[in-house]
Amino acid sequence: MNSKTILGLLGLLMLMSCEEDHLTISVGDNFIKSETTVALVDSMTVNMSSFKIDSIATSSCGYLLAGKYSDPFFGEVRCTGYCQLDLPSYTSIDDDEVLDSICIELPYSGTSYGDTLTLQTIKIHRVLEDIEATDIDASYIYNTSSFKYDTQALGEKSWNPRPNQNDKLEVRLSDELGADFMNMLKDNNDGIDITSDFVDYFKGVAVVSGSENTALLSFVADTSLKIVLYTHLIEEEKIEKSYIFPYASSLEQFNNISSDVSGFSIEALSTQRENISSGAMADMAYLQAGTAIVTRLDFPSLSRIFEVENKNYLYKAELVLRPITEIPRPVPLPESLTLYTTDKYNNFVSQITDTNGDAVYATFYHDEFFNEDTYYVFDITNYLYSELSGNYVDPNNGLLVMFGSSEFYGTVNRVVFDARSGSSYRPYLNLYYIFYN
Amino acid sequence: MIKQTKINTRYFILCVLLFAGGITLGQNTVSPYSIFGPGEIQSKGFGTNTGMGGAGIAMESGNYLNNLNPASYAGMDSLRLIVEFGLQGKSYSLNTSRNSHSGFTGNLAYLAIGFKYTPWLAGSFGVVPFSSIGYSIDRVNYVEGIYHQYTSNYVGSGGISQLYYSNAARLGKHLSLGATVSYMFGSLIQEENLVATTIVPSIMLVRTDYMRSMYVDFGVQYKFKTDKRDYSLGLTFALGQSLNSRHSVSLYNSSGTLMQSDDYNTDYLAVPNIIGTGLGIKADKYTFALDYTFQNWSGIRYPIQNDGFVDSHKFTMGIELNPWEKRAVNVFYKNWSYRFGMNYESSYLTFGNSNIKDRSFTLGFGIHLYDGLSKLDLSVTGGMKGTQSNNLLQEKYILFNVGFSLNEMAFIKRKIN
Repeated sequence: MNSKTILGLLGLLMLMSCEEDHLTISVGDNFIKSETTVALVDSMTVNMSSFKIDSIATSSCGYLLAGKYSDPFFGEVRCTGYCQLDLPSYTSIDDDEVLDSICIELPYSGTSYGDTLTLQTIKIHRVLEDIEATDIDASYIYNTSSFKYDTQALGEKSWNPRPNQNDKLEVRLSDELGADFMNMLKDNNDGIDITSDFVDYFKGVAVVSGSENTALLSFVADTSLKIVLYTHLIEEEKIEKSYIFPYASSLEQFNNISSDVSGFSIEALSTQRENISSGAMADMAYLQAGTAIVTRLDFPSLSRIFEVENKNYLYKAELVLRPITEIPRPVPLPESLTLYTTDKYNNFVSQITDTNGDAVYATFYHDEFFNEDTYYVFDITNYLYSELSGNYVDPNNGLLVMFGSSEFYGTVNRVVFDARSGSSYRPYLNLYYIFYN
Repeated sequence: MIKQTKINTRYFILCVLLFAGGITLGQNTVSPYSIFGPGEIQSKGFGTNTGMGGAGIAMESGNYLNNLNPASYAGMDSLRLIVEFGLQGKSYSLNTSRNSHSGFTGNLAYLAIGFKYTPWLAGSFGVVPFSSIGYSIDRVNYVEGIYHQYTSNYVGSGGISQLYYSNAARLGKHLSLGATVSYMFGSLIQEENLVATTIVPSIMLVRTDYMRSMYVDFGVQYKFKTDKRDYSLGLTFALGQSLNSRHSVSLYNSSGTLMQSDDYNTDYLAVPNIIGTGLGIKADKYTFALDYTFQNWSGIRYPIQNDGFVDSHKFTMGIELNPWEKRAVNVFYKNWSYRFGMNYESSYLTFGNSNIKDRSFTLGFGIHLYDGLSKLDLSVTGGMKGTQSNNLLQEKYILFNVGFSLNEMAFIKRKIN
């Protein structure tokens, strides 16, 4: 063995350093004190309040609402749906055609509110004013807007609605209107151009509730909503013909939505700027589409997060809201809820998003059997991170609970949140921490 | 005729290589017990003493180095350079009352150089392991504030190495004094992995201590002769102290992104007062050594453990036999040294009523190499540590040690006239 050999051997040995995967073993683990703690902190106060937005745009919402129903929390809700109709695209009408009838077809959306088991009445009125936007931008019509219509109805129908079984409601309109429309088509056919004047001539219809109604019905506002003119022509044999006056434009379709809240807690709600705390409203917070009642959430003790002294990683924040228990529920609970950030004036600032930039919607846990353990969970981690950034929490900032997507404008869905202080009722802000050394 | 010329430059290359390698001294520990304290404290001793079970506080360095007592270097054979390096392999099986696991690891163990300045003053420097960590432990934890169970997996690695510089002086015929100054370095790493559940995210926390601390220990040896035997007594002392380290904590999310980290200087890693005493008897055909080491661990606390430590006691006995006079013409085995050692330790770890004890038995050989001064030391140690009762673990191990003790002569170019 010479020095070269030794040198070579050493070099080899230095490279030779083997190690195996360790056995994972739980031995003696009870003698180890973990320096890491995962903890759920749910003691943050969540204040709930409600306010009413003065008016919201209900034009272009896609649904025509008509009828009224009594809600145990929101009073009597009443809707009148407005829409415009257009000339048929096919107008080759024979001068010898004879009027049979004229009807309006309203396709059910499947949604209804209140009690549909009793006889309901819907009246179709001719609108006498131009249905048009009243705001500065001339782009929206609001839930508070209304247009004068003929006191004499064009037609009315009393029936037992089955919005889930039948696909549409058909109401026969006056033959007088039918004759008008037929003559107009004949004039048009003779070369008199009436296309541009039709909306002037027939400004639209208002679908109005009967005074004894107990249900509010939702119809789809699209091209399946139409007036159909039925005629016949006798040549060698009788030929039946029909002309469709389709739904014209979403811009001029809207719902007037009002509610009689006298005697109800929500009577106190008047303006968007003034939210009223749940404490002053029987420990409840209110959210109703159509009438524009919104629930606001505030986290007054949020800045306490900065007082946590241990090293910590706040890895998740979730908000848990419980709807109050109603048996039976007059209106189904909303499946989709979302949150908007807000300022001290209750403005809708922006919808909250997750880290991917996708809007956050609640996960809905529905206890359909016992109707007790039903709640909504929002993952607000990303929102909280941005709220806490800068090591300062603006106490004026809060969250608004909203329906998902267009529900707020085209329905009268609603939910009442429990704001009692009991641990099984109250809203929770659950903060999930990892504390470590 | 052999003529001494100059020390081969390769010798220095070797030294550089040795110390570069020494920075990455391997870790042979595979024991859940190494989660406690600064890790598993490594036994001292190079080839010769390892073969005697690690005994030799009273023994002098001769044509080999004895790092059990810094005073021993004074006994080095005159005007020599001695290089020691060793490799260790470990075959182990870990047994609990429920399961068992076995395996093998191996690494470079130590590197050292000893030299004599004058007939009465000698020194040594090198890199030796101080402690070593290797474990993977699962622990069931509960989320606070909600009834929910999750598992934390702790994986430990790393260890503390000791870069030391010792000097020893002989005062008169009987007494030697020595002192060692060490720089403790290396990193102690613990990964804590939270296993994801519906509530707990997959998180990894990495806690690392980058050791950077000085450490001092002292030794005394006293020897006297009778007609037939040399007797010696040894005493070593290391003052307990807090070791300085840079502690860093990093938190990684499930996709491995660093979310938070913090680092600061700390001295929570403490080592105790260590007192060692030894008796040595040397005759023509045998050397006997008996050591007792006391480590004053009680009162030292580490954050990871629930219970405190207890004082540890270690008894080591070793014997080296040279039954035949060494001659070049002998059959090879007659020129070998034969060594035996026994070791009993009640360690600083006590869980409930169970103290973790370590018992081992060693068999070793010293084989002289071509020049008659350099040696190859082989030893096998079989031992048991811990217990299977009280949900604890017993570790059975066989250590294979290969030590090289290279004397300066080995690097001298020979020229035969």
